[in-house]
Amino acid sequence: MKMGWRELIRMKQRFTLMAIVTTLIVLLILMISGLADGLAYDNGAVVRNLPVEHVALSQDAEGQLTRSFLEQTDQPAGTEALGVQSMVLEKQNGTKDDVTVFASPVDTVYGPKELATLKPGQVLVDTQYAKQSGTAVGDTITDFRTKATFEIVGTVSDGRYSHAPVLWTTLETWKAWQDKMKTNYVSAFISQDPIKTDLATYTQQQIVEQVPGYAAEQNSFQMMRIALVLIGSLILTAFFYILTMQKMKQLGILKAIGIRTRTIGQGLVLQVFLLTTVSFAISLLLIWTIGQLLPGDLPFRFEWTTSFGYGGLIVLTAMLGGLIPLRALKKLEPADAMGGMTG
Amino acid sequence: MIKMTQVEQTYGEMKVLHDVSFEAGTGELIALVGPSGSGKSTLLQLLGLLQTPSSGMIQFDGSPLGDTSDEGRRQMRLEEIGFIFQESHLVPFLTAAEQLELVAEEAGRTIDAAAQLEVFGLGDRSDHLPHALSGGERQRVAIARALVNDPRLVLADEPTASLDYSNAQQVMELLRKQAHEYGKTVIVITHDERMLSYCDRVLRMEDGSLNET
Ligand SMILES: Nc1ncnc2c1ncn2[C@@H]1O[C@H](COP(=O)(O)OP(=O)(O)O)[C@@H](O)[C@H]1O
Ligand SMILES: [Mg+2]
Repeated sequence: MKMGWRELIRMKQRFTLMAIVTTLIVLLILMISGLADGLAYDNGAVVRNLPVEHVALSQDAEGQLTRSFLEQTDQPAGTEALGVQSMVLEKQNGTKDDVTVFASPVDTVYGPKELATLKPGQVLVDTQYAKQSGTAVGDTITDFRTKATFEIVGTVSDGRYSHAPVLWTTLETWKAWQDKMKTNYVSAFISQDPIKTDLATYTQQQIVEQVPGYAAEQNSFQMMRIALVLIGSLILTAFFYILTMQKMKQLGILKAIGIRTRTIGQGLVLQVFLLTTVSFAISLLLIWTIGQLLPGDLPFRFEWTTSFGYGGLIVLTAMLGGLIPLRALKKLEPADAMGGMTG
Repeated sequence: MIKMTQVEQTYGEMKVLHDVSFEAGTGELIALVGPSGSGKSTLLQLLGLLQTPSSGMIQFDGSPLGDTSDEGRRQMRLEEIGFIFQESHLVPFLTAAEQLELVAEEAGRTIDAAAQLEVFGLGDRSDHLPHALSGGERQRVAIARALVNDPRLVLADEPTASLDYSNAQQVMELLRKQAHEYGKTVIVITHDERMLSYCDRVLRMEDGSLNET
């Protein structure tokens, strides 16, 4: 232990360099997985944010909110109606955006509470979307198909569906808009409790998974995370393996003069453990800072549990890499390790 | 003190030691000489329990070492045998004092390293790292380290080869003192004829065979 510690403080340049490389690799893993998590969250954010467990859709909707068409008269007891429809909106400057309209009753239990203050024709938009020109609070937008106009009067956070901004409004405004399209329907009945109905029912998680593009995206992200963690920890394992291999001759001499392999091993464990945990702590601090500094519209999610999971894995694999050569040292004739006494 | 009987050592097809027998008593300073590649280092490593012979017997104080476990051999290397190499082979990141403490602590002992270094004329060098010491000083630290646990057998493989004459004399003087005043058995490999005058016996190695001269 003492010897490992002394090497650490007296061979500063070498260990600093190793700490930097380790930090960068950990940072890379946390950064990419943070972005993947951010994107994954972004995709179904508006659904995740609804405090409901159960959703009823029409039988042929296959779990997709925008494909479900229900009569309001069929509403089961204890549920709330939800309207969901995509819309091409036109801004005052003539440019267009794809958005998704979400509609809840004025006195909604699950939707944004701000709906209570909305007058007919007024909508709320996603916070980040409101930062763009043409869709800020106070602007008026037009539905390209029906030419219905809406006034933006406020914002909601996490208002994203399938990576596009969400427009929240009341069912009253929704109905007026549907009238212009000669339709009259709602998309879903939502509830915190299980719904008694002949309609197709889903859990919130199932609905998130059916958001267009979500499943395919998740598969890619999962592969990315696995590859990243695998390659990152392999690099670190090899890195610490080489570190110990470089010292084999020196360790062979220690063995020759009677130092226990255990004494040598404890020093190595201490070094690898300190180096990787310190690097991990620095990466955490950096990634947290980066998370704060990143522009708000960049989907990035930092989660302590995920980060510590990766951190633990990296400390373990690095340790493994540093200790594999000790097995060889244990079996080695000291004379061979030294390459001859005069070596 | 240490005895070798009909020891042979082969590396693959190559026989490096042929039927080597000899005995060394306490308080003896023995020189081992011979051409390069004749098997001197191999002999010393066998005596130092750094390798095991292909055949023959090595006895330490009358007990054969054949069945000693790796752990037993390690403990003997730590406590009964002192090694000195041509290069001092000090740990690069430990001070002179710490080199000695490492070996003492491994044997469960606490020492006054500065005082021990003083004996070797290194009193003011105890806090220096190896790279801050001269070649002669490094070799004296290595000798101090080899003697920390008061071993009974001291093995030195060309300890003076990389030193100038006056430093070499100092080293031989130290080794002679260990043998004659402290009763240690000291075996030194050397190429320098001038060093033989310090020694009680000279063993000559030639093509893996040992002759006393
Ligand atoms: N570990 C080993 N494997 C194979 N050959 C070795 C090994 N160690 C030494 N030798 C060979 O044994 C012979 C004697 O070597 P050594 O004992 O080092 O001689 P010396 O010290 O007298 O120069 C040399 O030919 C050397 O190449
Ligand atoms: Mg040799």
